[in-house]
Amino acid sequence: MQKNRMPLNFGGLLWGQLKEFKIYYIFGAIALVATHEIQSQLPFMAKELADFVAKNNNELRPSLFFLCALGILVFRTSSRILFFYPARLLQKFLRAELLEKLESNTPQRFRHLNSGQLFQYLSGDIDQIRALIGFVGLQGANFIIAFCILVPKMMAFNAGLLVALTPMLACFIIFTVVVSRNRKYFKLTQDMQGEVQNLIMESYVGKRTIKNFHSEDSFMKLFSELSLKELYYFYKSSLGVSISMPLIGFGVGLSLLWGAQIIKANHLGATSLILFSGFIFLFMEPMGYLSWIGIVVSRSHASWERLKDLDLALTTSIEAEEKLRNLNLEVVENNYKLPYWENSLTINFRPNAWNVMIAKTGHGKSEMLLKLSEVLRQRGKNISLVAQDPYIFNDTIERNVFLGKKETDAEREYAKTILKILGLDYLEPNLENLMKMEVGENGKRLSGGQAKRLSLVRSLMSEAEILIWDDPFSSVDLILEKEIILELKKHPIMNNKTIILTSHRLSTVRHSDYLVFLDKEDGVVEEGMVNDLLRENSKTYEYFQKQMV
Amino acid sequence: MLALTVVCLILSSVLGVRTPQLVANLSKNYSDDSLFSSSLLALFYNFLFVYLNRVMYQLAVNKYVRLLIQYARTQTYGRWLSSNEHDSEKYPQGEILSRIMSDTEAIRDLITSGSFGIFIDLSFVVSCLIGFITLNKFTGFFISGTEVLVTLGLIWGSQLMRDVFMKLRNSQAKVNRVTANVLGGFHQMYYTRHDKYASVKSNAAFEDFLEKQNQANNLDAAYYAVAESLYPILLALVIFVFPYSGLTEAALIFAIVDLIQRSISPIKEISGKIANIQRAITGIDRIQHFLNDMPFKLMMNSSRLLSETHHSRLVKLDVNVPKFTYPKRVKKNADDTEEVRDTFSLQNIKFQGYPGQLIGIVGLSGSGKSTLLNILAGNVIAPEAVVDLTMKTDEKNYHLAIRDLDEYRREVSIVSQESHIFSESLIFNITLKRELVPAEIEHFEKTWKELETSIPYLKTMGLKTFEKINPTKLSLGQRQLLAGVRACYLKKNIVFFDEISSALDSELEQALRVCILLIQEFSLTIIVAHRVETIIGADQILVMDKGLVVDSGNHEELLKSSNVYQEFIRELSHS
Repeated sequence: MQKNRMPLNFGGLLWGQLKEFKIYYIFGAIALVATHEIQSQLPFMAKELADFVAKNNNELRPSLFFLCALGILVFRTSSRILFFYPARLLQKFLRAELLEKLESNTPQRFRHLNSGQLFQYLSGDIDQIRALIGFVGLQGANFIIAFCILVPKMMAFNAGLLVALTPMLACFIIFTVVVSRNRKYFKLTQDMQGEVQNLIMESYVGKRTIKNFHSEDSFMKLFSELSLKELYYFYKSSLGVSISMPLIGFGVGLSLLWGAQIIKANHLGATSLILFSGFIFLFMEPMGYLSWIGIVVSRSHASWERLKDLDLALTTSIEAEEKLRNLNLEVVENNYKLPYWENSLTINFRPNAWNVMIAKTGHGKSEMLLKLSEVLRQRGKNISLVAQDPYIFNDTIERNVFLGKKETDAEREYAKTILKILGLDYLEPNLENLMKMEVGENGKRLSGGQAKRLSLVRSLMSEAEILIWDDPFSSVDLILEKEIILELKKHPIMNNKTIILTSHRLSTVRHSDYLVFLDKEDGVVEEGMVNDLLRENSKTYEYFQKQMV
Repeated sequence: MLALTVVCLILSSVLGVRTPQLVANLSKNYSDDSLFSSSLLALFYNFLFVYLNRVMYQLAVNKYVRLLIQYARTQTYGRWLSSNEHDSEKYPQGEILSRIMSDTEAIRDLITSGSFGIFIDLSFVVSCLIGFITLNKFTGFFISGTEVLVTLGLIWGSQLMRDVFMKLRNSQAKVNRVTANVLGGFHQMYYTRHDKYASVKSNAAFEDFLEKQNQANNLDAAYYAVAESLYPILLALVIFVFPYSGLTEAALIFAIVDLIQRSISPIKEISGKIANIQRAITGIDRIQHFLNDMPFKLMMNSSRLLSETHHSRLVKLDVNVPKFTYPKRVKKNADDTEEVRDTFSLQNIKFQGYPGQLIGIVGLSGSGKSTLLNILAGNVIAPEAVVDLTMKTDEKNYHLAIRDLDEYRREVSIVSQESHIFSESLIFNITLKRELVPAEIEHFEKTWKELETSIPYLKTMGLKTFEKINPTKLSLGQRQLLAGVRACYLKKNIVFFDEISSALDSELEQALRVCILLIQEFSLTIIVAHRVETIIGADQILVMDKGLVVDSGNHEELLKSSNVYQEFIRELSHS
C-alpha cells in the first residue's frame, strides 16, 4: 500500500492510483475494448442479417449472436468491477491515512475544526474522491475507448463522415468549461454540509438542555437555516450544469443531421443512413455519461482541495507549537517553560512524586496542563493526560481501559484491581462482568465521576511515566478520595511514576508532595513542598483560608 | 413547481417518441430532395425543443428537489428533536447523522438520477413495440413479447437488489456511528497511549462496509450488462422466427433491425433507473422506520420567553417517590445462568416545596441524590413517582403531574454538568430562541446588564450579545454559571441545581451563589449541594443515605439531631 497520498496534487493522485492498480486498469481496459469491439460489430451484423434474409439464405448461425450477448455480459460486468474496486480501495486507504494523521498529530493543529467538519472530511469528501476515481475512471476510459474503436470503423466506411462529429465534441467542450466554473459553489456546499452535521452533533449532545428549556423550535429554525443555505449552494452549483448538460444530447442530434446531409450530398445510399445512425447510437452511451463525469470531477476537485487543506494543517506545525519548542530548547529535565497569559513561566515538577498545581478558575490551569503535555510529547516522553472532561468511547470498560492494545492476562487482572481501587466495582461487583460492561456513547451509562475514574484507570494502565490529571477527584467525595489516594500510593503500579495534577481541594493538596501556585497576574505565586507551604504566613495557606469562609 | 416538472415530462415523452419517427422519415424520404431537407429541418426543430425542454426540466426539478430535501431533513430532525431521549440507545449520534443527512439524500437520487425520466423511457418502449407490430405482426409479436418479458424480468430482479442495498445502507450507518464515536476522542487521545484505537475500530467498520459495497457493485454491474446484451439476442430471435414470418421485403427487415437497435437503449435506461430507485427506496425505508420510532408530537407554542408573559405560577410542589429501581440489567455470566443484579434503588421519599424556597439535598456519593434530582427534572422516568405541582393561573388553581411530561417540563429546568453551552451567540445560549424581535433583544440586553451588576464575574468573561461562544474555552464552573444564568433568565417555576463538586475559586463561587439567589427570587430551587455555604440558609435540607431520606430539617436542627448530617459537615470542613 502506497502511503501518504494526501500531500499529492490532484493529478498526482490520479497518476499514483493508475500506477498502483495498473493490473486492474489494464484488464478493465481490455474488457472495455472487447465490449466495444463486439458492440461495434453489431450494426454490421444487423446489416448482414438483413442482406441474408433478403437473399433468402438460411446459413446464418444464431449461436454467433448468443456468443456476442454472452461476450457483452461478461466483459461489461468485469470492466465495471475492475474499475470500481480499486476506487473503493483508494477510499479505504485515504480514510485510514486521514484517521492515522488525526490520531498521531497534535490536536492543536485541527482545533479550529468542529466535529461536523471532521466528519465531513472522513465521509463526504473522501467519498467524492472515490466517486471520481471509480466512476470517472470507468466512464472516461469507456469514452476514449469507444472513440478509438468507433472512429476508425467509421473512417473505414467513409472518412468524410467524421467531420459530422464536431457538433458533438463542441457541445462537450462547452459543457466541461461551464461545469468547471462551478467549483466555488461545490466547495461552499461541502463546507456548509460540515456545519449542518455539526449542528446535528451538537444538538445530539445538548438534547437534554434543549428539551429542558423547550427550545426545540429555535433549533429547528437554526437547522433549517443552515440546511437551506447548504442546499442553496448546491442549487447554485448545479445551475450551469442544468443549462449545459442537455447540450450533449443536442450535439449528438446535430451530428446526426450533419451526417445525413453528408450522406445525401455524397450519394452514399439509404442503408448508410441506418448504419450511420447506428454509430451515433453507439456514441450516445459513453457521451451520456459525460455529463455526470463533469459534475463528479468538479465536486471531487473541491473535496480534494478541502482534504489537502486539512492535510496541510495536520502536517505543519503551528505557531503555538513552535513557540513551545523554542521556549524549551535549553530547559533542563523536569523544568518546563510555558507561555502563561502575556509572559512565560518556568515551572519545575518533582519526578516520582505527586505534584499539584493550584490556581483560581479561569486562570488557565487546564490550558497549562495541555501545554505541558504538548512539551512532554515534543520531548518524546511517555505521558498520559486525563482531561477535566474526559472522553469515553462507546465500547466496553475493558476496551476503554486498554484502547487499541492487546492486553495480556496479567495486565487484565491488574486492571481489575485498579478498577476496584477506584471504586468502580460499585457498578458491578463481578469484575469480569464489569470489564465487559458497555458504557454507552461517551460513557452515557456512567456518571460524570465514574467516567473520570475510568479515565484514571486508563491512564494508570497506559504504562506512561508521567501522569497528568486535570482535577481528578472533583466528583469523588472526600472519604473515597482519601481511600483512593492511599490505596494507589501503596500499589506497585505507582512505582517510578510522576503525577502532575490540578485541584481546588485542600484535601487533595494535603496528599501531594510538591505544590505550584499560579496566578494570572503574578505568575508563580509560590512553589515548594506541600508541608512547608501549608503553614501559616504562606500565600497558599491564605488561599485555602479564604476558601473556607 | 411540481406542475412545471410534470409538463416538462409529458412534453419530453412526446418529443422522445417523435424522434425515431422523424429519423425513420429521413431514410424513407432519402430519394426525394425537398422532402429530405424538410425532414432534416423537422428533426432539427425537434432536437432544439428537446434541448429547451430538458433545460426547463432540470431547472424546475433542481429547485423542487431542494425544497423536498429541505422538507425531509427538517421533518426528520424535528421529529427526532421532539422525541424523548430514551430512543438514544438505539440511535446514537452517527446513526442520527446517517438518517438525517445520508438517507434523505436518497430522495435526491430518486429524482436527479432521472428516475422520473423512466416515464419517458417507458412511453418510448411502448411506441417501439407498436412500431414492431405494425411492421410485421408475427415477428413484431415475438420481438415485443421478448422485450416486455425482459423488462418485467429486470424489474422483478431489481427486488433482489434491494436486500443488498439495505445491508449496504445499514453498514454505511455503522461506519458513521463508529466514525462519530471515535471523532470525539481525537482531541484527547494524542496525549495518552491509544495504540491506534480509533483507526483500528473505524477501519474495521469500513472493511465490513466495503464488503457489502462490493457485493452491491457486482450485482449492479451484472444487472446493467444484462440489458445491454439484449441487442444480439433480439437479432438472433429474428433469425429464429424468420422462416415462419412470411417476411420477404428487404426494406421491412431493415426497418425491423433499425427499430431493434433503437428500442434497446430505453430498456437499458429503464434497468439503470430501476436499480437507482431500489437504492433510493432503501433510504426512504430507513427514514420511514426512524420516523415511526419517533412518535409525532404536536408542538405547542413553546417560545414563552419574556418573564412578563409568564402567567402560570407555582403554588406547591408535592413529591412522593415510594420506590424507584434502575431498570434491571440481566446478564448472562460464564455459566450461562441468568443473574439478576440487585440494583440500586430509592425508597420512601416524600417532601413538599413552595415558591421562593431553597431545598438542599446532601449525602455522600452513591446516596442517590443525583438520581432523585434527575427523576424530578423528568430526565429519568420513574413510573412509581408521584410528583404533583399545584399551579395557579388567573386566580384559579390546577394540578400538573409529572406523568404529563411535556407540560411538566415546561415548568421546570435543571442546571447540571450535562447542561450544554452551544457554540452559538450568547443571546442564543441564554434565551435559546431564534428570530428575536427588537423588544426581546432589548429586554435581554437590559437583563444582562443587571446580571452583570449583580454578578460582576460575568463581566470578566467578556461575552458579547451576538458573538459566538466557544464552549471548549470555558471551564466547568463557568459553564455551570452560564447554565444557571439561563435558568434565571427564563424564570422557570422550579429550578433543579446539581452543584458541581469540584472546589471553585472564591470569585466564581460567589458568582454562583448570587446566581442561585437570583433564581430563588422567582423559583423554588432544589439543589444537590456540595458546599455548606450553599445550604446553610436553606429552608429545608434532605439528608440522603443509601437511597433513603434519613433526616430532614434546616441546618441548625440537623446539626443537633442528625448524625449523618454532622458527618457530612465534618467532612466538608475537613478539607
